[in-house]
Amino acid sequence: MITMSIDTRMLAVPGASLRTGWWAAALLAQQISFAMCAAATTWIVVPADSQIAFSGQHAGNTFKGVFEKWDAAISFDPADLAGSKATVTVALASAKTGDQTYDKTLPTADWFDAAKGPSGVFETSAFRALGGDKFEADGTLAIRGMKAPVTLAFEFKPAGETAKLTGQAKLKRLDYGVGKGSDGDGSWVSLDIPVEISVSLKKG
Amino acid sequence: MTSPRTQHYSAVAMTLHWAMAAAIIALLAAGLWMTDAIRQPETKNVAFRVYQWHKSLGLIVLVLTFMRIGWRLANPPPPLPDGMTGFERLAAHVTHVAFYALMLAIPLAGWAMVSASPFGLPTIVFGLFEWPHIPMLAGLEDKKPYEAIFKSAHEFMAWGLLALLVLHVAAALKHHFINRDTVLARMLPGVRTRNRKIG
Repeated sequence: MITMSIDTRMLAVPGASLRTGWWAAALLAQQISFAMCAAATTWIVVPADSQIAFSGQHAGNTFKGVFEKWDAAISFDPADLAGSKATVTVALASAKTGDQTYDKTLPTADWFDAAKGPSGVFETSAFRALGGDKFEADGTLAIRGMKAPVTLAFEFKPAGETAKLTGQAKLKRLDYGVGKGSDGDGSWVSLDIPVEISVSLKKG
Repeated sequence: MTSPRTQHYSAVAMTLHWAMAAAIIALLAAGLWMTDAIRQPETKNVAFRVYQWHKSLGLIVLVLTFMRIGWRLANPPPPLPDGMTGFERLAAHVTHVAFYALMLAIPLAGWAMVSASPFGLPTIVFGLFEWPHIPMLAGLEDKKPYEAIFKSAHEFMAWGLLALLVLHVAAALKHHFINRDTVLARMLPGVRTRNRKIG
């Protein structure tokens, strides 16, 4: 399936150098044709049956939470991993653990700093097949203006027009400066924050 | 001549006194335990919860202290026994003023210390509603030195309150068992002051 999805960042480069004339036009055409060839099946998230969950320890107590608001643009085809791509945008202020003490702290300046940078963005750069339904996606996660590579291990189970994607990634909160001032050595809040995703998809 | 009944504190004063006595003893005990327990891995989890609970109860004491001062101004306590010397009267007066001052200052210093904490943990009173930080302190760029000042003040005054508490209890017992006057009985609900010396 071919879709006309052109990432605005693709346009940014040739767009800025339009003064160079033919070269830019040629490059733009190349980008568009690349995008057309590369696009795998587009999937739409079914929010009611999807979640991004995180967990960790605070003062010896395990906490679990979810992001209530997020969105994902997913083009994925097990037969065309090179043309697959996913961008997940998470509203950081929507983190909910069920404990008000945590929920009101997480969006503050030293943690997610949601007032300055409301979104966390995960963007894939490459996919690998691990056999069967199992895959890995390499990508970059940006939070608070800081970026770090993240590998998402996931299972992709298609069923006709729908699919179920479940996966997990291990994040290190200090990679993004989360809680660095309050607890820079993990004596209160664990440095490792596992993230688990469970996403229901339908073909777009 | 005053009747034995008016020698008692009012029901409101007694309720406030004993409710706050229980709260203050619980706060002192929790404070002494948790400040050490929070550093031990095996008690850290419980100590964190005790901290949240300590913050909630401390704020209740702050509110009750304002109510109590208001009640006391409107309803003066029964007079001290006539037999007390000038020094004893002064000592009693100073102790009580110091109690009120500390019952205000200690929770205020605690509130200031929580507001100036770099952790920025909110205070959810008994998990029910959020008690705001003091905006002036919560908005500071470098909070740590301020937190340290309020922390020392909170701790220092808490030791002062504990010393005062010991003095207060000892004096009440002395009045009751040695002087055999009404000073303790008039704060005890249901205890008659009739058989004791009124003045």
